[in-house]
Amino acid sequence: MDWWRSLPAGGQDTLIVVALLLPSLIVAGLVLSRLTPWPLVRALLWRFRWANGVFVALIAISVGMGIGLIAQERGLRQGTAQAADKFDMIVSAPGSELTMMLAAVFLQPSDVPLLDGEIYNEVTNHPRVDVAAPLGFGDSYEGAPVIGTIADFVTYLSDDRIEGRMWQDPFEAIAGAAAPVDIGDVFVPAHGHGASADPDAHSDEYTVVGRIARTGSPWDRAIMVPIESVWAVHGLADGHAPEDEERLGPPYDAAYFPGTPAIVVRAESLPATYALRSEFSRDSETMAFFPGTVLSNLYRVMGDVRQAMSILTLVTQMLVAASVLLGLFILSRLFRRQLALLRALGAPARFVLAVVWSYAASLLVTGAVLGLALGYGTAAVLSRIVTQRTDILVQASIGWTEIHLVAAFLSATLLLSLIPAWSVLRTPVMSALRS
Amino acid sequence: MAEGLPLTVRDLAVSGERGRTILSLASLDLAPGTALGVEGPSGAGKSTLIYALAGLATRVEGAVTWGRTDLLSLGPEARARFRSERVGLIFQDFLLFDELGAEANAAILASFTPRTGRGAIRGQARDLLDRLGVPRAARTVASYSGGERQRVAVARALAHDPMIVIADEPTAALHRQAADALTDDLLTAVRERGRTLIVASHDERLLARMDRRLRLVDGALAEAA
Ligand SMILES: Nc1ncnc2c1ncn2[C@@H]1O[C@H](COP(=O)(O)OP(=O)(O)OP(=O)(O)O)[C@@H](O)[C@H]1O
Ligand SMILES: [Mg+2]
Repeated sequence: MDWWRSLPAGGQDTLIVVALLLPSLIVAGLVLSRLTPWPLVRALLWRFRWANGVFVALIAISVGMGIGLIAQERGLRQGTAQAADKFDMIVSAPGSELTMMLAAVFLQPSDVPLLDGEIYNEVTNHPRVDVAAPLGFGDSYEGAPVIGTIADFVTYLSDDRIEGRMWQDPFEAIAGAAAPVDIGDVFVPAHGHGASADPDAHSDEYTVVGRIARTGSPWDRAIMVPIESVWAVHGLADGHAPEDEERLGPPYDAAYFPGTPAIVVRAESLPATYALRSEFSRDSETMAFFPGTVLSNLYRVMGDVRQAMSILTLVTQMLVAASVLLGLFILSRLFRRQLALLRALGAPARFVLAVVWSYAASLLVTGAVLGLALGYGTAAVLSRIVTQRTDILVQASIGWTEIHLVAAFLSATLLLSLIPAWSVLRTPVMSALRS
Repeated sequence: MAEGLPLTVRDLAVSGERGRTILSLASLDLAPGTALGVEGPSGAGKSTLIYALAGLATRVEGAVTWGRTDLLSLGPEARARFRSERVGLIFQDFLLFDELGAEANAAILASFTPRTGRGAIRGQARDLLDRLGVPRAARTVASYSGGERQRVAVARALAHDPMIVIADEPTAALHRQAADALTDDLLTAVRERGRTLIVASHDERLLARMDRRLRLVDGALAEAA
């Protein structure tokens, strides 16, 4: 056991694959040694190529669907987790953590109560807080959310990978990597989102002065602007006292702070993050939560779905194995006469077994390998669509789970295909020859 | 020169599916190198007899002894090995692997016999096909004529140099000219190596060239010639 744990992860997974395939490899060795069934098998495969093609396609599609779904589900999980990576903690008014997370991390805004300037200042002035960013939602441009925040957050979100420059004026903007504007563009945001957006509500123009690198999150489509301008556009105070009107970014004067639905907090350390969470979890005043935790709770719920999906995959896999078996029975009927002839000419039973089994193995291995490729392809296409629609960077990859699944399927069907091969041997030679 | 194997049959009885005896033969002795023709009306049991002699019959009693091998006392695997070493079989309807070419068909035994003999089988198969005048095309035998197909079958039966050749109506599917040519080829091949030959046939021209003839009627010996 210690030895097993001392292996690198890849080593364990490789060994599992080998262990899964070992029974079939042993059977292959026992059945095929010192025999040359291939020329005959190749000829038979070619002769019944259409039936074989249908067979291989059936196996490939069913294996591919199972693999594709599992790979896709993992890709989604990793993609969403990655998208939430920069959002260590969020402080907001008490309510649904899920709603808040969807609004702040995935930019799916909904009407939420605001936090006032006192609380914002308390968070941002906390000695263990590195970044505390207010967010201002509500506007959009060509479907891309226009989000008010502070320069530090843009720097933090992009790891300082900013093309162009940071804003220096309230009406300058930084575009996300996939936002519909480019550096130098001038735009007027619409009030609201989607179909109900009102393009004529505002008249203030923004100039895009910078563009951040890809983050793999919905923030890639966003256009970030100084939160002061968002407040101003909506006829609110801009966070600063009249004598400090020129300031852009914190500190804000609590008296002139119109409120923020959420504060994205980056603490100086992991223990600090936990400490801050308990500090800002106050009944009826504030709620602090980790988006990562909300997501893992979500994954846990979805884990049941995943389990159901795996079982479904397994069941379809078993059904396919059963139909493969049936198909092999039918195919071996097709060349019953040839096989009886081999027996009549003096071939050992093992040779006949080898012919039928190699035939089956060729179909199964081809189908399984194509299925793996198909599964990858399906996941890749789905991932691209999801990424395009949500900007959550979902990457398709074939993981060990899928490889193990295919190996188990292959091993089971390879062993099962000995049954039709065996049944062929039980038909008397003479009656098969006379038929 | 290699000698064909002598055959001794004692109290051979083959029964059919419902237990009816379809062939009984009290005694038959064949010297090595003899060519025996088995004749008789349709349904007389000719095929049954020669497949029993090849160890292919099920529900069979008695003794079929080739040389020192008591064939019927062996299990199916040992009988199969005996055939692959000693017996060449030719069938009425050719029974070739339609998906393979002439050479692959003629040398099919090389797929499962011990490795050491495989080269010899392949070489022999090629020689036989040349001698029998079978075109060595790349196409499969499915497109060959009846005469060509039966000559491929003869090459297959002889490629492993068996001491016994057993044929069931080898000329029945051929027209006269092809049948005579095949008879010549078969007899030449058998005589030159002193092989023992047993042929079941209706073909009088073939039967006339045998050393001995045996007539079956209703599953029993009618008269020996
Ligand atoms: N497995 C079997 N069970 C029952 N009867 C059988 C079986 N095999 C053959 N027979 C019967 O035994 C008889 C002899 O058959 P066989 O094929 O040996 O005849 P044959 O002399 O070769 O005839 P043909 O000249 O038409 O080829 C036939 O009546 C046939 O129907
Ligand atoms: Mg017959």
